[in-house]
Amino acid sequence: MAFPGFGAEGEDLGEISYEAGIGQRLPLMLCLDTSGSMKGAPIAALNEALAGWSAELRYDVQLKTTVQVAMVTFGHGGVQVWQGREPWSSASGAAPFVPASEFYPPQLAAGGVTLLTEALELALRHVYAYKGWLKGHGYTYYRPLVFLLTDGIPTDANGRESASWQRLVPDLAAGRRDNGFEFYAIGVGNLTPQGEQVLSTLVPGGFRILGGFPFRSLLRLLSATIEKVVEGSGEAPLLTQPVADPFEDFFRQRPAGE
Amino acid sequence: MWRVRGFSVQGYAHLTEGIPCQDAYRQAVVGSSAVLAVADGAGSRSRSAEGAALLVTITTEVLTGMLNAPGEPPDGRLLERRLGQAYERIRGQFLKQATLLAGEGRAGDFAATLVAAVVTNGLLGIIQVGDGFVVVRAAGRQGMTYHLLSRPEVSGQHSNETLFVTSAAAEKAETISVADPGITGILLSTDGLMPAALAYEQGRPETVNEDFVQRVLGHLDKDGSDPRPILRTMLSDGVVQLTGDDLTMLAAVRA
Repeated sequence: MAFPGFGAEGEDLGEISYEAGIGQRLPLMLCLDTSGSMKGAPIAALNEALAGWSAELRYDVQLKTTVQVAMVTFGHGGVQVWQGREPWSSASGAAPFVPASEFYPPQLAAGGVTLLTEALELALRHVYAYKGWLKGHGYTYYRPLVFLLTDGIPTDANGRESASWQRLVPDLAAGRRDNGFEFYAIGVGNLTPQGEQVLSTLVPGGFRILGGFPFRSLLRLLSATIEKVVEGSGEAPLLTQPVADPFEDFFRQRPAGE
Repeated sequence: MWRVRGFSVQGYAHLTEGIPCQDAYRQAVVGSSAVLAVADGAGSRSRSAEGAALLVTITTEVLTGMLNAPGEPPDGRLLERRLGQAYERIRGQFLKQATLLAGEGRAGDFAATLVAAVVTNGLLGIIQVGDGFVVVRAAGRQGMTYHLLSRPEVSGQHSNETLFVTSAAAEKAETISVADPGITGILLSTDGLMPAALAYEQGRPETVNEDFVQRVLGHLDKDGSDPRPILRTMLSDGVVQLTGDDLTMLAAVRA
């Protein structure tokens, strides 16, 4: 990197010892739909985009240590938590979040039903547990980002349309209101009006419907959102105005149907 | 006499996004005394960079005026009281000018934290609002020792929440005075350098990362030293991996 004005080359103050692990962390939970409707080109596009996006994160000198990634998929194999490319097991005793520098995504397959409710509940439990762990160990962190991507309507285990998702509404509202996490939902593919209704109820003002499966640009914009969070700062209230929505640009750049 | 040097660079996250640095610093050397101020503009506020610049300008003017005022040199308690009064003037002027520039009820657009110091007659006085910090180097029987004087208070659930001079809860600032003629170096910083310059216990900054502070102040001890090694260190991988925040410090060493 060139540093304008003082040159890229030259002496610095030498090798300085810094305490390990004290950098601020940004937990990022990806909750991804891998149900049967994602078979074929959509799941291939998602896999390709995830691989490219994670590689970009690994090369970012700051984000690779700041961003901590975990994934929950729902569809093929039921509801599955991932720790990097491996299925996560509670027996490991560790949280499924891994530094972006070590995040290599799994090769996802599509199939099965859309257990969105169960997946999101599990994702939020992991987010809260990880926050508790960070707090307990004295690590500082940004408000976690939870990112839901779906192309269908929530179902039960038999594939029947289910209203169970409605039980998520109060938890999501409370989590966002109390700064527990920031939550965004993106509908892709041929999401029906009912599917859109689900997202708009889950996260009023924080969802978007995109035509097709533009995963690559979606994940690139997710990186932009992460950078916005990392460069921003919260503050004590009063004499203030609302903090800008870090996803503002995302929604401006990718309007519905684009 | 004090030799004072300021360093301010965009944080890595700002560099990659092309966002200007929202920190500011300003200093004044008045005879054998010095006034130092650093401010960190709130990332979420539209005019916080202007706010930080305005705040350090007003602060150095008010504190220089305080040092130049006639009267007996203060002891520690009196200095703290004067700093408290000075802060009220600083905040009053700042809110007034910010309101003039931004409009009625919009002073919050200029939100910024503040750490300021005066060093005079063997006394060091500090004003603090928000999460900046002050480290000193003191010469003693056991050589140089390093002390964290103002421990940054981080409020709220997440680590990027703090208090600004524009906040309603910032009517009064924390003031500290230290009587130590052995102080040979002072480093004021915004919170960006906290993970590099401080040492942590249970996730909280409790003491000084002497390796970092020693090298910075030691470099400035050399008369006519090239400032670029300090800037390169501020943007080194080691620091960038700790923080993407804007990085600003004002360092003073006895010349």
